[in-house]
Amino acid sequence: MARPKNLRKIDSLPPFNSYIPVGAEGEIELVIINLEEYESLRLCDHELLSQNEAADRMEISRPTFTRVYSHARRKIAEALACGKGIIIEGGKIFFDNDWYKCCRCNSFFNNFKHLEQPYCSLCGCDTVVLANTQGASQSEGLTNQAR
Amino acid sequence: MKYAIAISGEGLDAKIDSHFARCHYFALYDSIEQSLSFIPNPFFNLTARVGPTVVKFLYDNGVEVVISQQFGEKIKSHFYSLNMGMVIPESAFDKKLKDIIDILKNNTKIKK
Repeated sequence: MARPKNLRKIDSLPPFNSYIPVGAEGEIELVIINLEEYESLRLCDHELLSQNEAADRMEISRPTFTRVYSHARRKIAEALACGKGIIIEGGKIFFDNDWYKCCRCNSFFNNFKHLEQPYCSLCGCDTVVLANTQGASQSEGLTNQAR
Repeated sequence: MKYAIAISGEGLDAKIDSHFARCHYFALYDSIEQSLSFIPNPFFNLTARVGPTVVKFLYDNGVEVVISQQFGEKIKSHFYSLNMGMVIPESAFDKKLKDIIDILKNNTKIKK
């Protein structure tokens, strides 16, 4: 049995989670990029970190980082070369500290009061889920789709 | 509870800024008094250590929770150390200050 993947730490979510080619008509094919792949691109090509530094930030080994990063680049290249849309979602990820997602307003927030049952800092909703667990559970279905 | 919202201009139509520490203005919302005020970010042009300086500035102004499009890796530890909250609203790039204030006004948990 294959060893389960370690979770990859991500720092922030992308401002948009989907991109489509301007002027495209009809049904557009989509490329799905996982959040960890997005994070690898962001760290290396936006924050201009070395692969070693980026791997440390994501708490994974450097070879694993290189693999994730090359997948991300390949998918972006495919989208650009073939005029496909891009969806960024899923992935084996976790956020630092205890971050939660509100089920009503969908905002992300940290449990800064260290409450046992945190509520959304923005809308006050009690129905919140740990952002870590949500990222992990999303990933299973989506990694299969991406392949 | 006092909230700071990083915005790109003054007024309720201002958009949530994508850069927390280098935003143009902060909107300060007091949930108990239900008051809203604007302060220009005095450290907008600072060349170094702008993040920690802004966090301390907001903390000194009694802010407990900050709302922005995103928070950088380095800045988060400063929030954690001061026990301050961070909120990233859904589709924050698309939201205006008045959208956030409307949500906060309906939040019954923060009015005491």
